[in-house]
Order: sequence, then structure tokens, then C-alpha cells
Amino acid sequence: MPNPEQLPAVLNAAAAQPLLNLLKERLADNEPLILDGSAVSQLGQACLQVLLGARAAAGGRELAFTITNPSEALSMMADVAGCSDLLLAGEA
Amino acid sequence: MDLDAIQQMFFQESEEGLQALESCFALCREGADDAETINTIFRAVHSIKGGAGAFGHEHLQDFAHHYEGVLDQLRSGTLPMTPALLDVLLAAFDILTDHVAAARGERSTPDDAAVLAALAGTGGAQEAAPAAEPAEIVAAAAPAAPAAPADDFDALLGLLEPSPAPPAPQDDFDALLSLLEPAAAPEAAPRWRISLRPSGDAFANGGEPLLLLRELARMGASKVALEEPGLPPIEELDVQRSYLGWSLEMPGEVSKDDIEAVFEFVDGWQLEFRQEAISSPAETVASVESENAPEAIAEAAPAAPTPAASAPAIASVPAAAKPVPAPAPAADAAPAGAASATIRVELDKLDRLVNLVGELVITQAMLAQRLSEHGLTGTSELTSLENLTRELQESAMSIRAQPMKTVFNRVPRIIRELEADTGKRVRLQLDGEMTEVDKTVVERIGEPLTHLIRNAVDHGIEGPEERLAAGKSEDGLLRVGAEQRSGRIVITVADDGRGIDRARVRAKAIERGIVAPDAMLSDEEIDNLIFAPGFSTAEKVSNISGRGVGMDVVRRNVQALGGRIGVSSRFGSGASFTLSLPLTLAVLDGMIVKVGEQTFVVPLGNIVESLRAQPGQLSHLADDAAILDVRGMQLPVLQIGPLLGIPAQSDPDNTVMIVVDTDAGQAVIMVDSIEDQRQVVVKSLEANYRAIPGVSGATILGDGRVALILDVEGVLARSRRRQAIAA
Repeated sequence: MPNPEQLPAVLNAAAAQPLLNLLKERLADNEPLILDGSAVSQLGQACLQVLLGARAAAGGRELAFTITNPSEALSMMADVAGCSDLLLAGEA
Repeated sequence: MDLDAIQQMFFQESEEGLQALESCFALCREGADDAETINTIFRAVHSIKGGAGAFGHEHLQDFAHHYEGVLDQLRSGTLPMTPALLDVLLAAFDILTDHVAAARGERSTPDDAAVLAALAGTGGAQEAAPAAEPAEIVAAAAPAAPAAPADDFDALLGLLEPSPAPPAPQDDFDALLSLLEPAAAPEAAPRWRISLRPSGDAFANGGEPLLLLRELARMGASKVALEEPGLPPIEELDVQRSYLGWSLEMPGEVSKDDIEAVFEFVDGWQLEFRQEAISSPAETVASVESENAPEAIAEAAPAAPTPAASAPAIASVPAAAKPVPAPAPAADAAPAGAASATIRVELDKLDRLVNLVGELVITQAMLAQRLSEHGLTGTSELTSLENLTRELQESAMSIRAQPMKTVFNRVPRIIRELEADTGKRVRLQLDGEMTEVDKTVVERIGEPLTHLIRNAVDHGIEGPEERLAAGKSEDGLLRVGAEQRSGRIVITVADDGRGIDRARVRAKAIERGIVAPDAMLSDEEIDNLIFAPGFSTAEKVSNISGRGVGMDVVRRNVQALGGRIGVSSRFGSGASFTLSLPLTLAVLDGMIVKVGEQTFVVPLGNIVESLRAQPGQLSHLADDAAILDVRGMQLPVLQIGPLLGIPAQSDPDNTVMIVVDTDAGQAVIMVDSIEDQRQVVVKSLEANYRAIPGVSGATILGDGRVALILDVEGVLARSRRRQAIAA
């Protein structure tokens, strides 16, 4: 299992494009998406969409998508957005 | 409209909410804490909380949340209103005001721990206790419709505990009875099923839809389900567009208004409300009728209200920041929530309108002048134009007018703080709150007024023991009033304290070198010494007043507004400060005078009378100094020509003497002739040129000439400086 990619602390609208670029790169390399969510203190919808899109893309390529060690803030916002089971429930 | 502008709107509405709270608490203090008043208080705090959540002001939101918890208990009758509770609510109101100011960046976040503890100790403690950990929202199904308080997230969490405990029994028969009620009763309100979808450009200007979802979670949202069918493949994903939508449930006890309030400051969201009963059929019928009827009315093409639970009403809210207000249930029809026939206009636009009207007034005067040069005076068309212009100007100025209430609303808090600091007790009487004055006056009068109030409580009103010993009531009386009088606004700050101790004031003034030891001073002159720079009779400097700079600054601030300040006092009975201010700073009634080739405007508010000096009435003391004998009063003469360096009429017999009122008593302005008396449009010299001592502004006359507006106080000060230098 490759080393998890550390998610930035702030996943706001400004962080969405860099996150999208990173995940597209990993997908293009056919790498599983193992993301460490322990440092996340803020999650906005733009980044949430990127994560959901990446999850779907990984599933389509039969690659793993996992967010490990989700921080409290990440878990809470995933709950608020009704997508805990999609994002934080293990591999896609 | 960008996010900043929407946030500014939130702050404006918060300010109005705080003002409504102050008014409601004033009623509560008078014992008028009826259901409508309490409901208005609750709604104002709730609205602030909602907006704070939407803009991410977490401290404000958290505090409002706890405050609201106690208010909800009060609103539901669980907590009775007592003097002790009112004190806590008032203290919380002050902290809420500070939190709003902190959210605006005007101050640091206030320390609210003590007040939160006091709120928690009110008996609404269970609901008001701060959450120890960040709350985790459970998106899965909540247990079958437990009785959730309207919008208390902590309580919602409590319901997720394995065995929800019933409310603590009270030594109250009614409370005991309520425990015997069927547990399902509060659940009868049908739950809201809500579909929501942010607009595609919801992230523009920093918008963050998840913050609104978080606020809904705090209000009790459950069964939050993500709808992502619109999410494109990652290759086509545009990070600046919103693709997601949600469906969720809200407790039926939360009103639709409250839910919609969460979306008050965002544009373009698709919201769909559906209300479905989930309790027993008999209860459902009743609640669906009562809840759905107004919703059905709100629809453009409503179906007849049906009691059937299987036919839920749907209320769609189109993409709009402010949904069309639905008829509110009676309990929600509080004054603060009532729709008013007002619109918000940017101040810049308003000022541009006022400026244009000013230009129109000037142009109209020029036209009249030009016509008169051709012998066309007194035509009915010109008279109509003059009347219309004046009416238009008055209407334009009235748009800028605001009630003094916006200033007076801050006074109760000042008094509360002063009472706490000094141990004195003060009964406040506010009169004339609806008196309207120009916005600029309202904005700039706050500081001098605050200082006068602080001064009255700190120096004027005695402590309870001293008052009782003097045969007065234990509570001091402070009256703050505003009224329109002779085209000006007169603000009074009067107390029934110890009054001005003239012997002490005089001694202090001599000690500080403000007056000579042998100076003969009238009572009025001694009273006015308190406005002298550096004067203070406070034995020790307190943090309230007594730095010896205050009253001087007060006078200067009032003068800067074109106003005057006066004081009257009876030793032992109190003091009264009177501020006389122009209703507006944009137009001015003035006398047009000539000095040499120059034209000036003397504000009519300063003028007492005008006269020609008779032989022997005028005495020359030095080169420029003279005294005029006006019915036995020796008044200093201010010769405008020499003072402003203008060649003037050299024959004193042909000059005109204008007696004016100043803060230092009456004086005489000597000019060559009086040309006219009219209303002029004031143009700022500071903004267009630079400040000139003795001149307060400029105007454009009908013939196109620029005339300077004399600042009588400034001219007097200029004259005194010249005399001091000459001496």
C-alpha cells in the first residue's frame, strides 16, 4: 500500500483546483488514492466535489479510494454534507 | 451583489435587531414582558445567530445559540421572567452586542464566559450549556420522532442517548401535569422534508454552502442525503461550479421562516419544502391544518388546504435571496418580523441625489437672478419652480433623516455599565426618540452625548446614601430628550444630582490659571468654565470621566456640527446640558452680507438682531478692537474686513452691526451691508479646498458668485487671538 497523500489543513474553494490537479495526476498514473485526512480543519463544497469526483473516477478504474485518519472537523463536515459513508467508509 | 455587500446587509440587519432588542428590554424593565415582546427578542437573537452561521462568525453564533436557548425557555413559559433573569438577559444582550461588533472587526472577541455561566444558571441550563466537543451530526435516521426542542443541537444530541431522560421535575403542579401528558404531543408537528440545491455559481465571492448546511444541522437537521447525479466526471469538473444538492429533514417545531432565514443572505438556491405528518392520524389532521394552511396560501396557485396527511403541501422558494413573505402565524407576527414598506438604498446614491438637488436649488436661484435682470420677476412659473424646488429639497433631505432613537438606543447600556462601575442607581427617562435629524448629525452626536451622560452619572448624580441624606430618592434621575425647536434640534441631558458647585468650579479655574483671581464672573460664565480646555473638578481621574478633556471636546464636537452647547444648574438640584444643533448640515438659512467686494453668509441661527450704530454707541479701543453699546450691554465688535484681510467700508456710520449669539456670550459682527436672507446649499471647504478658521463652508449664490459661510465662533476665536498677539 503506497504512502498516504496528506490532505491540506484547509480544503476551501481556493484549495480545490490544486487538489483536483493532484488527484487527476494520481489517477492518470493509475495510483490508488490513499489520502490522510488527519490535518484537515476545514472542508468546503468545492473540495468535497473534487473528492467525490475522484472517488467515482477511482472506482471506475478499479483503484482504491480511501481517506485515512479523518480529523474531527473532516468527519463532522462529511456528516453535515451527508456523505460520511461515501468519503470515510473505506475503499471505494 | 458580492459576499461583502451581503455581509454588510447582515450587519445592518443585526444592528436593527440589536436596536429592537434594546427597545424590547426597555419594555421588560417596565414590566411589559408580554409574549409578543419575548417573541420579538427571541426572533432577533435567532436571526443574528442564523446570519452569523452563514458567514462563519463562530463566536457570535455560539453565544447567540446559548442565549437563544434561554430565550426559548422563556418564550415557551418554562422559565418565568424575574428581575434576576432580566439582569442576566441584559448582560447577555450587551455581550451579544460586543460579539456583533467583534464580527464586524470593530473590537476583539469579548470574554463571554461569565455571562455564559450566568445563562446556564438560569434554569435553562440543560439547554444553554455549551457543547464540550464539536458536535457530530448524525445523518442517519434519528430515533422515531423524539421530542426535539425547536433548534437546539445539544438537546438533539441528548436525544440520541440510549435512554432519553425526561425533563427534570419541578416543584410545580403544572410541570407535573405536563409530565403526565402523552409523550407524543410535542411530536405532532409534521416534520419538514427539504430539498435544497445551491446555484451553480454558489462559490462566487467566497460563498460556502456547507456552512448553511452546518447551520441547519445545528437547528436539528437529520437524514441529510447527498444528491450528486449532476457531478460530472473528474476530467470535466469545474471547481468553481456547484454540482451538489441535498435532501434533509427538519423538526416540525422549527418554523419555515426560521429555516428560510438561514438562506436569507444567499442568492439563487433552489429550496423546496414539504411537510409530512408522521404521528398518529388524529394529531396529524390538526397539525397539518394549522401548519399547512398558511403554506397553501403562500402558493401562487394553491390547492384548497386539505387535512389529509397524504396530501402534503409543497412550498417552493424560487431562486431569490429573500423569499416572498408568507403570511406568518399569529405567534410569529411580531413587530420586528413584520414586512415594512422600505427599501435599502446605498448611501452614496442618496448623497448623490441630495447633491444634485442642491445643484438644482443653486441653478434655480441663478435663473431667478437672470430673469430679474431682465425685469421678469414675480412670474407665476418662477414662483411654482421655487416652491417645487424647495419641496424637492425638503423631501430629499428627509430621506437622510433618521430618528434619534438610533442614538438613544445605546443609552440604556451606557447607564447599566455606569451603574455597575459607580454603584449608583439611575432611572433613565428618554423623550423624543422619534425626533428626526440628518444622518450625519445622528452619526456624530453619539460621542458628545455619551460623554455628557457619563459626566452626569459620574459627577452629577450622588450615591444612594448621599441622595437619601439630601432628602432625594435613592435612584437618580437622568433625562435624555430630543425635540425640534425653531428649525433646530435641541438635545437635553438633565440630572437631578448635586448640580454645579460654582465656588469649587471658580476656585479650580483660578488654580489652573483659566481665569484671573479677581475676575468678576456671572453664574453663567462660571458654569461655562467647565467647557474650558484642561478643566476638571474630579478629585481623582476615573475611567469614566475626569480627565479634564471631556467637556472641551464635547463643545468642540458640537460646534463642528454647527451646534451650540449650554448648561444651566442649581446647586443641590441638578444640572441640565442643552445641545442645539441644525437639523441638517446640507442646507442653511443665512443672511447674505457684503464686506468690501466679498459676499458672506452669516448663519441665521446665530443672529439675534441687526442694527445701525448710532453716534456714541460705538467705542474704539485699539486699531481693530471696538465695543458696541447695545441697550447697556457692552458687546465686542468683530470687524470682518480686518479680521479676514478684506478692504471694507471705512465709514462706521454706514456699516451694519449684526448681534450674534456665541458660546462665550453675545458679540457683534460688523459688515458693510445686508443683501438678502435665504436658504443656501452648503459646500464643504475641507472637501474642496482646505479648512479655514472662521469660515465653516461655502455656497454658490444665484448670480454664480461663491460666498463663504462665516463660522461665528471661529471668527470670535480669531479676533481674540489677534488681540492677544497685539497685547
